[in-house]
Amino acid sequence: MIKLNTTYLYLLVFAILVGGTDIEFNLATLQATIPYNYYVSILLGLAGMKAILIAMFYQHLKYEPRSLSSWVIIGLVIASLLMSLSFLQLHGH
Amino acid sequence: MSQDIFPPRVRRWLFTTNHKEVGILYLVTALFFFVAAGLLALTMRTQLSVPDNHVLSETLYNQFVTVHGLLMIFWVLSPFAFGFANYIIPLQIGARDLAFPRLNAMSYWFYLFSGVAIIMSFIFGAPDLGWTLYSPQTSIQFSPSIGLNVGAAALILITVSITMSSVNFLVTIFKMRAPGMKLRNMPVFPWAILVTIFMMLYAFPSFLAAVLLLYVDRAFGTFYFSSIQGGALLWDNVFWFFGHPEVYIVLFPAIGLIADVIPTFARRPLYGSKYVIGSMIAAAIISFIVWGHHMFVTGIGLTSTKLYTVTTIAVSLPFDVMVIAMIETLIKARVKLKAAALFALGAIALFVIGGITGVYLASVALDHALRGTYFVVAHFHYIMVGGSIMGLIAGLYYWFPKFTGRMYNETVAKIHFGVSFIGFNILYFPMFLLLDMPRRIQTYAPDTGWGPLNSLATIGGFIFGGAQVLLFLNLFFSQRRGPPSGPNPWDGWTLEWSLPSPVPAHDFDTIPTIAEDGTYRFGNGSNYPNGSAHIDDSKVGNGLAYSHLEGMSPWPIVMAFAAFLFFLGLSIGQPSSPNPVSYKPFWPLIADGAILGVISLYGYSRERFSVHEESHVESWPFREVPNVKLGIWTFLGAEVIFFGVLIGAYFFVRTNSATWPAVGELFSIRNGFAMTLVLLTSSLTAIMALASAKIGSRNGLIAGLLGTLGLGASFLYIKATEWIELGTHGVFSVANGLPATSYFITTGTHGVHVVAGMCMTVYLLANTVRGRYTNGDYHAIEHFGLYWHFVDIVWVFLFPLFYLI
Repeated sequence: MIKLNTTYLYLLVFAILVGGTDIEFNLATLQATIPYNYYVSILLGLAGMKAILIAMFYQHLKYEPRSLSSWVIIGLVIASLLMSLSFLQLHGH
Repeated sequence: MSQDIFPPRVRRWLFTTNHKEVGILYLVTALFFFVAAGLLALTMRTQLSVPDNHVLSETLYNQFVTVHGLLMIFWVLSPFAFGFANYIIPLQIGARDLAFPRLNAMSYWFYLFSGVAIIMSFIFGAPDLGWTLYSPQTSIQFSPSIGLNVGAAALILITVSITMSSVNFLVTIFKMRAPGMKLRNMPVFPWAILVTIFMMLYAFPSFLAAVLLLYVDRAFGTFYFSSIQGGALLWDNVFWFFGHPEVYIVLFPAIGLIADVIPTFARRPLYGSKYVIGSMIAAAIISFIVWGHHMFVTGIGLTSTKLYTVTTIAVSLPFDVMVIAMIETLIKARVKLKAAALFALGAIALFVIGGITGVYLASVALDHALRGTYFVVAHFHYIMVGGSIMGLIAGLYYWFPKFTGRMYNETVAKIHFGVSFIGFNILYFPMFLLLDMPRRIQTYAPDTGWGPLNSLATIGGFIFGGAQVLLFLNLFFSQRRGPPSGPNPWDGWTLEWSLPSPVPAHDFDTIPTIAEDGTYRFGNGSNYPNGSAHIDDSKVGNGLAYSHLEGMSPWPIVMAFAAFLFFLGLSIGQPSSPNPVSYKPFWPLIADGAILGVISLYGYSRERFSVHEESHVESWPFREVPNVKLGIWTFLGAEVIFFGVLIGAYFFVRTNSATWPAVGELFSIRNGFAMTLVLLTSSLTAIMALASAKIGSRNGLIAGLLGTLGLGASFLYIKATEWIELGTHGVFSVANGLPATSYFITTGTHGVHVVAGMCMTVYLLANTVRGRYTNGDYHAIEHFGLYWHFVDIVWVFLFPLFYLI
């Protein structure tokens, strides 16, 4: 596996983030041609991917001790489950 | 800032950061609010004692009901418990202080000033619609009084205080335990506080977001909670998502405390202590999925109703385990019935009654009949006063000798218990029988038949209230003239009893080591068996250099006062136009608060205040994670919930709205795209700044920080341009309703975070120019980056949500 220089790694992550944003921007012009649920899912999926990249590489979560990364992931999973439940409840209205 | 303008005794209490003194401040302040809220309750009971009574007007009665509830829940129960936690937890886990002593002092001062604000709300017409602040009664149309704004400001301030405390205790308990103090060996009280903190970290950011939205609804005429598309239900959901865990937040510390008190006086270990801790964790998790049982009558649907019935019954099971463990501990034990033990036993008995009657309310059929009646009032007072307050009073008697070095009068204390217990039941038990009397009514007709039971309850109220005078007199005179208590009057087993009473400023001369069998050792001294913790006084209290005076800081109180002024200024403005609502805040106070805030932030950051981190402490599972970094990640976790609720509210109003503008109709996609690129680039410059700091390149660091600052400013510039443009086209008006307001509030809150990040950048730049951060001391840059990237992540989601969907 190629080990990237830190600076190159940061630039590569940046390029992916910009590329992802560009895809999001251009998707908006195709909105009418994509089923709305797919459209929303793709956009939120892209946003999630960008957030994970930032957290892993810019916030260094990938290089932190496992206890800290697990701490953050468990917290996020619980928060997501709770919010999902809220959305289900709200959707019921 | 010169601290010498105050006499030493005053200075000590104003500027202390020592956990024990902050603990005492919390306890004294909580007891003050307890008296204030109790007096409100006694006045209400007087009003209700006979039919057709008019001691209080309807408005004043409603104000008393509301402020009594708010004070007891936010300003008495939790702070009372956290007074003990402040004083006792570092001692029980073998630490010399909390992880962030200045932050701890700041938490206290935010708490105090928030309490001042809620009491001040009476000047402006206090909140008068119950502590649940149901919508749409809270809208400016139905509650025009600015007292509710002041109440909202008070709630924001205390939520900030609680968040700071939560982060502090979490880092302390995880990272600062004495060698050998494994999590599994920790006493139940620190465990209870740890579980409480987890609940606080999930619940209070949700509440903060809810109160913030309520505030902007009232100040700027937005429609989150007053829209006819389910605004009232939105409040119900976000409030009770916080509100039900809050019941356990105020209860768990008392249960943990009782679990320490009962074994001491029963002279045997707590039966099944690991199951008790496991039950607390289970109850904490389930507590977040029961909130719908407060909404059975709102039409939440059959599936939801079934789900919440099951979860509500399920949440009672862990409490059964806790109670059974206490009872098992007592079986065949020779219990020493001191006042602390009596209050602990009394608390369990009352909690059982409160708990069982709570299970009734999980039944949809019974809930429909009993909801909003005095049966519910009786139920939750048996929990909150019977379980929580009685338990906390047990703690007061239990640890009083440790706080003061003196014994209280045991006979008076036992009389206090007897009269309190009898008074309590005369006060609240008749309310179970008033199951057809609605809550929050100011008076009632004679033919309702409610008079005799109300009279009885009022008599009980005065007996219970009067009994508390015995407590205060006993403790007041005993702390001056009580006989010396010695270090361990109860033969307690936990670590605090190994220290002299009162505990010296530095707590431990040497940090103790805890052996696998529970015995502990100081320095080179002999083992002190766990079970007969008699102290060798020669080994402690020698006066190390770590003293009260060295740990003082004026900035926590100044910063809290600045926040108080700022939010008071925001609150006591007047609507300049009721329809549409537009707001005129009281700018002089806001300006004073802002200026004082900047000064105090500068002073805080420049103050030389070092916190000694012990090496070789027990810190699993975060051994390799520095304290500050763990604190920041925990804080960011709370921020996730905060933004999650804002985004959830946006989803709610959007999915409930019949129409919503098409993509690109209201907001320019190009603007959103440009802002996203700018903010992503700022993340790159921020991480490059850190990389430069790590290799010692000052120019690189300066360039990175300047780039981040400039890009942050560019982001705000585009945002401001967009806002002005939208304002010019009249988008930010009632006519445009929820699409515009949800956008402005969510992106505006994010913008405030960007501004805060830019302020940090300026501070870091100034220090970089002075030569810091490039000699291996780059951690501040790293910590700033964690925050800045988080702000970036939030925008990564806001861009598609507001501009593309």
